[in-house]
Amino acid sequence: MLFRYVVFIVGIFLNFPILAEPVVKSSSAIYQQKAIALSLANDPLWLALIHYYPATFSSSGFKSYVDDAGFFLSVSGETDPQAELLTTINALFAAVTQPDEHAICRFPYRAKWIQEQLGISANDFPDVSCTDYQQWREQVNAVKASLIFPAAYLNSPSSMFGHTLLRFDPADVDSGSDWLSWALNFGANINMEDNSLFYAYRGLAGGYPGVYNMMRYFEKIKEYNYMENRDMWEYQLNLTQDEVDRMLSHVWELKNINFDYYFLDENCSFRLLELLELVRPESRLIEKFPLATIPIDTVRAVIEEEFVARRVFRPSEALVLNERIHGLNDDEKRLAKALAEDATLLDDEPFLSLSDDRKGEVVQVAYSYARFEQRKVARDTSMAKRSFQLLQALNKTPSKPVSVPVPAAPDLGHKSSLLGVGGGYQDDRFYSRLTYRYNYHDLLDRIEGYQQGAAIMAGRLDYRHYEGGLGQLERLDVIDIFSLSDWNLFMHSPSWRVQAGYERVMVGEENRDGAYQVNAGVGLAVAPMAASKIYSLAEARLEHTSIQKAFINTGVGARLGYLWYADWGTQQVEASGTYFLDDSYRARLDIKQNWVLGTQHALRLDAGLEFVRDVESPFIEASYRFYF
Amino acid sequence: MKKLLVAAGLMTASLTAFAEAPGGPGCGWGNMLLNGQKGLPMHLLATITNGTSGNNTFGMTSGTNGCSVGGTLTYGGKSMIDLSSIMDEFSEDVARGHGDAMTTIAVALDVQAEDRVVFNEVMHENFTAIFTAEDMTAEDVMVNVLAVMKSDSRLAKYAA
Repeated sequence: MLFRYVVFIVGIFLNFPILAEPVVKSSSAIYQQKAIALSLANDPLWLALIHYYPATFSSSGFKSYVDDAGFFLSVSGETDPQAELLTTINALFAAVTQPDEHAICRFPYRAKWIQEQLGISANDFPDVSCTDYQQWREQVNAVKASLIFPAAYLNSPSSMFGHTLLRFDPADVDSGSDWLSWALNFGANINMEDNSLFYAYRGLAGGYPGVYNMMRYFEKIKEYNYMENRDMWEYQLNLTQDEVDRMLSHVWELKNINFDYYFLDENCSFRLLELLELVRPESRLIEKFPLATIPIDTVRAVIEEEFVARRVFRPSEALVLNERIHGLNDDEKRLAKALAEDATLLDDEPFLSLSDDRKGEVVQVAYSYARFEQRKVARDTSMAKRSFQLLQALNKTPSKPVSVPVPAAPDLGHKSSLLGVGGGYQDDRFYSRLTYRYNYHDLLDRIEGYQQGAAIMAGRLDYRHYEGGLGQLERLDVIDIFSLSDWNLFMHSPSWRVQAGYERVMVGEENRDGAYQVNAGVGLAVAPMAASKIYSLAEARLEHTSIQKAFINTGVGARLGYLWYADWGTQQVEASGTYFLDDSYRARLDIKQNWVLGTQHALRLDAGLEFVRDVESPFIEASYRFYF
Repeated sequence: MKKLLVAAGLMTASLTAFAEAPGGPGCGWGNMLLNGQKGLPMHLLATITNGTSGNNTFGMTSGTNGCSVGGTLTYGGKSMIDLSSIMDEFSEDVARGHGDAMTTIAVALDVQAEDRVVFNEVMHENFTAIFTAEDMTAEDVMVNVLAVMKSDSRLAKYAA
């Protein structure tokens, strides 16, 4: 005993672990050789565990998506699967100093997989109890998982195409504990000191590290359903207990680990596909997304690969509030709005004369509306006082839960990319036309699974081929967003649009020319009937053409339109005009009709007029549209 | 459902207010109900990249709103998850007698399924005893909830 103690002390001084090392080294060396003989470093699962992807400029042919030294045990691990594997094997046999930092505890999935692949008896590993990991697993306590899709949200660049996260549920989640389940979110770890423009730039360019975070699911419900008024769709997965276990053991390995974060491809949805494919390697999820990863497309892929057991809808607070507002008559609506702004009206005749049931509905709308408005601003004492008075009134009146009709699920909507072929006639010439859109949805596309009045397109191309052989690029939009929000007694959100790209326009009375342009507008929309909108916007436009004198021509304009949604399709009538600072102007009228032929098929008709001064140029176009 | 409220050994129950909000200053339990929460403008900044604002959490502690890491949130000597961020929703649910936030609090307090209806009724009937002022903190609310539960024969066992 004394001898061992002395050797140990000497060992410390020599910084050379004498005692444990000989045994350890031989074990790990044998298994390292076995791993090399089995070519284990090239095993798809090992490559997936370390998040390797094929990389041309790496000597091993691989590089990891992970950008964090804390994830690799080998110094060359980021680009060398073999070195990382051999170093990991060695680390698994290393003497235990800090149990929770030992490779067995820090990388439980790696440890289990290596043990299985190399036939290592558990007794051969050093005896270590992973307190942190075990506590975390007990806390998360999951046997099931759901893929969560908060619907698209045009007012945030990162969420325009939706978002995805995972939720881990205990066995009895259906008994009302879902708010307490754990959510796993992958997102950028941002620096709050940067301004918002910088955020957007760095988010796109990859300036922020991406990390996984876990939080109670109610934090996410608050964020999406309450703060951002986004509906949430929950896709309960059919993962087995074993698959959930393995996924969580890998999630633990990613704790506080930085990934490169890119908005378009290596984003939240891509990272979740990796996790799903890790536990079901036979599924082919990742290979479906060679370029950008749009969240709803990943949801569809997960459904196609048969991961999904059922779908649950969680309406936003705004949707619930709207449903309650619909239940009020006009007088009650005005009263509810007035109460939300002045709680002393609770003691006045109009409110007191209502029946108890109606009082309950009116107070509920007043309170929900007050909270809805207050979420937009920093709250002050008078708001808090008013809310409290309304709550006290709510407590004294009867209240019924309200159920919101479930809309069509987003995965049932048309697919994100579009190809259109057709023909048209303008300026005494026939032409054939080709349309390609990278993504996502315009105002007239089939509405099922999308939101009325919300259009977002990235990468749209129109090409015309005229009779006689002339081919011309008619339009190339980089981005085109149109957000129409109903303006009514309760809701006061502006409508807006922004568009940037290249388009051929009438310039002067004789000429058409290509214009590089950016335009934006703001205004408001109303819903005269259900499923219809009338909108009006004031706009500004900057454009460059080769004909105009000014290098950049500046214009101001207006847009007025009508939109109507029917089961069989969508109709739009729109007039717009721009007056330029060089005293020229341009206007156009469009009558558009989209006929739905099937989920992925439609016919589109567009007829109208373009005006410049005394010249008018009528046109008519028809095309078949295929979504894929 | 695993018990989320765990008796912490020898500590005896005490419902008196804490000198410092559980989880430390800046933790959500000190947030005033219905007041002072940051609104949408700040929130919008944080959502640009689906991000989190430097507060790197992994579910290791109960808090995600600045509660001290490694410290345990306690009420009456029991460790508890941080429910402060749903106190707004809870107050509305108690006022009207139904809702997901109230169910969540019941589950977090380990109220069994057969007693949830009683829990909802007792909370609803005692709204004025639980929510006494608009500027009370989430912590005050929890203290009152436990006091109300203690005085009810069916619910006392969950608050003991």
